[in-house]
Amino acid sequence: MFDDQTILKCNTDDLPDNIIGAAVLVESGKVQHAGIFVRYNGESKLFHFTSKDVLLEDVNDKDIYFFKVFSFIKPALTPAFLAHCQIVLKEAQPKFGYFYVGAEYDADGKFRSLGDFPEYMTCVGFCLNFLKYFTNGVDLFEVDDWTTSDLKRSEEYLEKFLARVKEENPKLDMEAFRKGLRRIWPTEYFSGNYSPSLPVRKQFVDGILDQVTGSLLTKARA
Amino acid sequence: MSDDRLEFKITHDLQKKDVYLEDMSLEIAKVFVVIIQSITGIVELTSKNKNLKISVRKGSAVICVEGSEIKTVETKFRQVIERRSTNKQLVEQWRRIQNVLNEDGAEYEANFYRKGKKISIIEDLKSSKKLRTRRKEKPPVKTNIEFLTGRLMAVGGKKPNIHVEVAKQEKALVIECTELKANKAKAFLYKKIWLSVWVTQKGEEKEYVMCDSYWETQQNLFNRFSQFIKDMENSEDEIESLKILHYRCQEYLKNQDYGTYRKFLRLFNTESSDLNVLKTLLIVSRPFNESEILGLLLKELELLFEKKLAKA
Repeated sequence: MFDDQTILKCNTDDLPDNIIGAAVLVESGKVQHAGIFVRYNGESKLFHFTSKDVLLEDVNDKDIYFFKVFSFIKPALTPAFLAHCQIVLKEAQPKFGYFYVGAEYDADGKFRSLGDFPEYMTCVGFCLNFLKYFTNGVDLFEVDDWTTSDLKRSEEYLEKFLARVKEENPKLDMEAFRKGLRRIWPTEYFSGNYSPSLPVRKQFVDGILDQVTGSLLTKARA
Repeated sequence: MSDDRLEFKITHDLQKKDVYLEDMSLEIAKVFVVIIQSITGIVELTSKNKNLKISVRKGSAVICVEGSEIKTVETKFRQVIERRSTNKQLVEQWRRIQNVLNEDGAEYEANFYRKGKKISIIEDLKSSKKLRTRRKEKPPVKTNIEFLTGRLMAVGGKKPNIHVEVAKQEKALVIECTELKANKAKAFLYKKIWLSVWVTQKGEEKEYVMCDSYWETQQNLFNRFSQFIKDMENSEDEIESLKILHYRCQEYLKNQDYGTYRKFLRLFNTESSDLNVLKTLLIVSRPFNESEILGLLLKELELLFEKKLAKA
């Protein structure tokens, strides 16, 4: 099921001309950040939400990014995939927050969620919300498998965050929003990509997480 | 020493100590070997290399190529740096040098000397992105859709077809169609018709298959579709083509102009449609999969798509 040969460095030269996958950044011995790796016509790019901006940028040699190909979208569809990256790049205006309800960037490139929630998300949330466009509307991760308790942030932090959300969206139903507080970690996002089916279940991720994380960190040190 | 030359100099080692050719540490010797190997490779790949001489010299550790053809080496170097070169091997040699220079530690100088002028290339090598050959951009999407007007001269055949007299063509075009379309066409016998067709080159001959017909009152639509196909095929590159297509679909859907959109989609309901065109159409139309007016056609497009994807 898990084979560490499937983890490749994003700045590798000898890759097929078209390929798409889940990407993570390893920095200071930790898996810090997540994005989407898109290699089109031999040009490798990262599409990601930095927690400030959405960027579609060339892979550089300084940052250590790894990727694993997505199994649910064939490399032959990279052109259509990249076109949608560019469409969303123009429209998306996410703000950072540990909030994920299985939303989607729609055909307009606009954020759309059941319950009309505002566009709060993490780097992983951005990937998942983006990718849903290519899975016929199936959620990448089983939303309810993750709960507020996975956040690993203090009550104080969360209350401050919620206060800010309330201020920025005075009309928002905060009780409903609160239920969407959850965090899927970059390592979970990366590990979930080994799941044979969608949506990815937490149980699957938990079973493979240590192995995948260990492999990423070892590879980053090499 | 010749005036025209390319010179690499390893000046300081990892500990910032001066480097001497007579007394190199293992790390410096390794770097030295990479540079001299790459330089040798670059000379080998330069067409008129007879007058180019390679040497190593004291004064730090110097690797030097000299000779009048150094101007060619420099021209080719500029192409490599600006990613205009298509010479994979040459790019590889320069990239090896680039990798060495970008590793932490030793200090270098790298200069072209031409007509008494010194031109440093160290920053070019260090600051440019990883060197690679020029990529050819993917051309815009091509279709085999053509739009034509003419006079309908005949309808019939065991394998149903229609004959259309088109301006500037001696013989009437024979256009394959379905029985249903042939029946519909009968009403236009000896009248002017507006058609979209799929054209396939079969040896010397062109084969025409009817896609759709347009009423006289739909000339506007006919012209707009025709212009759209031109725009899509003449866009900047493949991705732009797909984006243009996407935005056009969105426009029809947003305006709830489903009748027109259905006619638009028909243009692509052919085996020769590009896989990514089909994917773009399908995902943008996804919310309308169950729609009465679009559902059936979308299903057909999806089958086409699946068939093509299986082969991709």
